[in-house]
Amino acid sequence: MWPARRRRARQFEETALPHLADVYRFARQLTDEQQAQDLVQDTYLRAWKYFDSFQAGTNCRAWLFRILHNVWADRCKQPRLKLSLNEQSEGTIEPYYDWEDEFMRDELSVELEQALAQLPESFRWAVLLADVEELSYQEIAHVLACPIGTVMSRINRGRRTLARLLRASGQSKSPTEHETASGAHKLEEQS
Amino acid sequence: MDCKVFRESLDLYADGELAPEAEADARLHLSECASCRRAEAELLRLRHALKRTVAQHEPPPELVRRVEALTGAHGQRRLWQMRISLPAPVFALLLVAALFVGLVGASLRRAPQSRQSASSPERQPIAPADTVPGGLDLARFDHGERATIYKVRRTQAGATQ
Repeated sequence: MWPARRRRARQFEETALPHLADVYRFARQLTDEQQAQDLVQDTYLRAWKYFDSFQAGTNCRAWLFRILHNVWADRCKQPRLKLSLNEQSEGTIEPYYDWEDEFMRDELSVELEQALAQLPESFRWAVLLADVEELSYQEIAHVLACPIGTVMSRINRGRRTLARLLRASGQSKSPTEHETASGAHKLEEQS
Repeated sequence: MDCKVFRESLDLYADGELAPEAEADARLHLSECASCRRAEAELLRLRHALKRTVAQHEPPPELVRRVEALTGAHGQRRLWQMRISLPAPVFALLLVAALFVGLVGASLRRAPQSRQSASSPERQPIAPADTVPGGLDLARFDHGERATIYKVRRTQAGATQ
């Protein structure tokens, strides 16, 4: 291996490879295990190919997620800015008026994963990049190739939709618990 | 800041995207309003639950190997391409040892030559015995070569007679 290529490989190993687990976990929220592996491999293949375009000192994780987004968009064969019907009214921000009730239960990984899978894709990307990857709005806008205003509304609507789905799954999954709880409450009131 | 404004900017507050003055206002409001604190707590719980859920998945080892192999830097290194890291004192010691071995080897190689050259005056009287008429020093040749030389000379002498 030539010294220049070896140096490039070492930089890549030090800069990009440490984020492999994050990229894979993110990809798993988009698709199944096998496809997630292919997605990650293609992402890193492209990252290695265009590694010279990566600016040292900038956020490599955000750069990798941008590539992952491009690879994902290419695989889905959808134009990046095309929105589904329920995503087209995303310009508005809904205030969190109904977030005082505790819709989050302690053991809900399965429900949350199911709710995430039901979330429209563009909302899922925005919520995961903000809440899990903790990227700034500016970085998310760069990853998703959209304006910051769109990022804000996608995060807002994504979180609210997620909460709605969790509430719905909680109500449909444990009616007996709810009934028991309300029955116990009535008993307490009567006593 | 009132509840309406806070609830509208809850995302920005939770994501650290508010301007410093607006963030200070939001903190002040939170310290005074229990229902907005609950709303914020729910948002943070959702975030933690999301992190926990996503963190369940680990990349399979074969994927890690495949990705590492992309650069060609893993598993394809030849012996001479491997990097050896040694502490500086150990490296210096090895260097000195190598120099010492080299010098001793060179002096040992020189010793037999000098012994040979020292004993050559004693050999010199024998040398004429190893010479054939014509001034050729046969000491330089082994037995096979000497035999060939003698044979050639003999045939040449026979031809002249």
